[in-house]
Amino acid sequence: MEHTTQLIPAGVTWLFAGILTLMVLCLAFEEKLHAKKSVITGVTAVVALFLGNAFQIFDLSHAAGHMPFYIPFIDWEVILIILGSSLFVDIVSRSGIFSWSAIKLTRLSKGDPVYLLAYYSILTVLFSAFLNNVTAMIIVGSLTAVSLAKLKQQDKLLGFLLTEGLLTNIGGLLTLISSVPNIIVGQRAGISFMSFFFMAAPYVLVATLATFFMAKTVFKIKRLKTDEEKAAAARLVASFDASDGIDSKGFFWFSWFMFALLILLFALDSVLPVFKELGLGFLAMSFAFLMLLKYRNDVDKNYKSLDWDLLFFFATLFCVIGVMERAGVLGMIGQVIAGLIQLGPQAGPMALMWGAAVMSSVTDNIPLAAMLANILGGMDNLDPSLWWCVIFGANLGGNISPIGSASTVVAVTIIHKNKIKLSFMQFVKQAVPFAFVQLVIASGYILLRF
Amino acid sequence: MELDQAASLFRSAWKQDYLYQAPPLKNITLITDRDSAKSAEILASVQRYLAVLGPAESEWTVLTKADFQNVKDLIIACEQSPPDLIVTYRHLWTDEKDLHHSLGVYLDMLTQATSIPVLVLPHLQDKNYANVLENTDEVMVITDHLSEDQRLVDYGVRLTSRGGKLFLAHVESKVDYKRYINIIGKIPDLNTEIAEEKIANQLLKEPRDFILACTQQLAEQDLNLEVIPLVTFGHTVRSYRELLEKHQIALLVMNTKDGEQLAMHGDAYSIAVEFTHLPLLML
Repeated sequence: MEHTTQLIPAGVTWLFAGILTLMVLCLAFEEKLHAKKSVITGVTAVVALFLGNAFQIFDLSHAAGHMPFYIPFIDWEVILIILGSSLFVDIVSRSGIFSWSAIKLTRLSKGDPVYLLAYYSILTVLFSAFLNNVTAMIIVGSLTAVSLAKLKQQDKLLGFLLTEGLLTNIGGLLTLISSVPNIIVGQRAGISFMSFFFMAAPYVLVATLATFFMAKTVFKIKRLKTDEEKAAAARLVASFDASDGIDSKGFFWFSWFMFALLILLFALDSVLPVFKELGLGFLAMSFAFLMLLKYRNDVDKNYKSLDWDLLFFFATLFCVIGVMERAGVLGMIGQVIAGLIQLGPQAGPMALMWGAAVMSSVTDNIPLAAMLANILGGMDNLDPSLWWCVIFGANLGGNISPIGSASTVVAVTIIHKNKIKLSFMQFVKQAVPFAFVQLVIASGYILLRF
Repeated sequence: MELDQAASLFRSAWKQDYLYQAPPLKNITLITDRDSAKSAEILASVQRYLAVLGPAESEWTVLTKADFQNVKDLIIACEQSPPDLIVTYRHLWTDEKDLHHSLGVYLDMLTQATSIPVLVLPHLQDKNYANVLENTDEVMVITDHLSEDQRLVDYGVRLTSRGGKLFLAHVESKVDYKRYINIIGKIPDLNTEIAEEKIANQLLKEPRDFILACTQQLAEQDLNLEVIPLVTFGHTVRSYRELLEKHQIALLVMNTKDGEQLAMHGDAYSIAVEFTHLPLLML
């Protein structure tokens, strides 16, 4: 939305900065507050809009009569991509294609722990890249717990689940739609699906290999030794029936086709006439509605499966950021970031990436990415490496602490469900070396590419 | 997709597998309450009936009425040198052939105080005695899915004549199912309609999957058996009676031990005292 820059009194800016800080702190301690994200950002949005209007920080001269003036604050393209993709993935997952792939790879490993870790690592990265990090962790983490229990290898469960949790945030870097920070920053920076992929893929490959070999060493994952052990393990994993969750073969193959077609269209969206103007959100929603035809008389259960907390979180968060922008708070933070960037052509971007990583390890990476995207978007002659510093920092920071990302929260939940004790600090102790190596590789990669 | 949904999906995808391992049936003890001459006749008829074991592969011992005076003596005799299988008949030391609701004190003790499989034949004076002891062409195994089903099927396979029919039967108790659905119907958080449909499907799916695994494995091992699955909802004893009336079963194989305890579990005892005219292998 176009808005005129108004002179905002410093006291008002500081008041709104205080409101933003309070919101960020509440998001960091959401578990302790027993409050969902959308409620925190929703209440903040209500307060911020009320106070903003009371202090007359909004320019209402361009507001359309039929639409509240704060509605254009929301990035509807981002909302549509998330809404459409979530709905599409939920319907497609009912066909059994994801569980089928996961079980096929489990069988392929013949129950050998090293192969199993390798296949689950690949699966985690791919699922995180093309579904979302949380769904990837739920599918691969659940299968890991079941398969290691059947193989009587529960002592390795902690290592497997931690590795998978850490890899969700690596896989989340692979494509423009792999994680919410990617969508937000990518949209703002105007990065196409394929440009994103070609930039991120080499890093994802190297970081996945590094994480796998580190995990194999740190968690002492070794191959089976005797032929008897190998035969017994192979027989046990052969008992997994990949077709168990497939109710309809036709729907199963149709889902594969639609899944592949959606990825292809995402990849080609920026060059395809007609689609180019309609955007990724249109594509995601179109495919969701096409798949809903399968459950045309019973769509309620599909709508129920949507993460409404996440959707309301985005909508209200965008409102909060819109208010903060107009209250001068983002400009104030932008000055700090500009100071960081001025540290030098190499030190500046690195400071931004590592700073973003540390910030997203203690609070949600989505508001951070949204805020930084807005700030960087308002800067002139921007070094393109800075966009990537935000993307890498916001994603990889999730690997530093158990609350750093939604997928690591799921990993810890599965760990606790399996009666394995893991405190906050134990997680940090185990995860920090991995996150450090991943960030060092990212630093080297960005310096090399730009 | 939620965490619990994914975990359920993968737990369901893991099927109990089956690998046939012929149970040891080398040492067999026949227990009778008759003299040596009559016991020899009984032995001959039992050996004919169990021809599938092969005469050269099994060593038979016969305990006649001279070898034990009471239950305690019999238990000691069996436990001193435990055989792989005990063969005897109902109501040992009782001439009343129509005694229902009991196996007789000797059999009660043998089946509950020892862990040796017992093949229980009809009473010697039962009118069907000679007819049912012709061969083991049609054997029914009751898969209860409580424990040791693998072993149960192994015995069924071992005792079915090659070229014969092996019925793998499972009756899911409708009474228990209804009881749980009634409880679910009183819990507002649980959708009764979905629970009713999904639980019923899952209860029947598990035995079907296991039977399918058995069928595939036995076919791979080329044992020349026709495996027939019989999976249904019903009243346990009544439904088994209907299945037995429908098919010419020569031997019924079932688990009798419930977990750690040696006492016979409820359904097994009901079946054991009900089907007096049928040879029963009680594991």
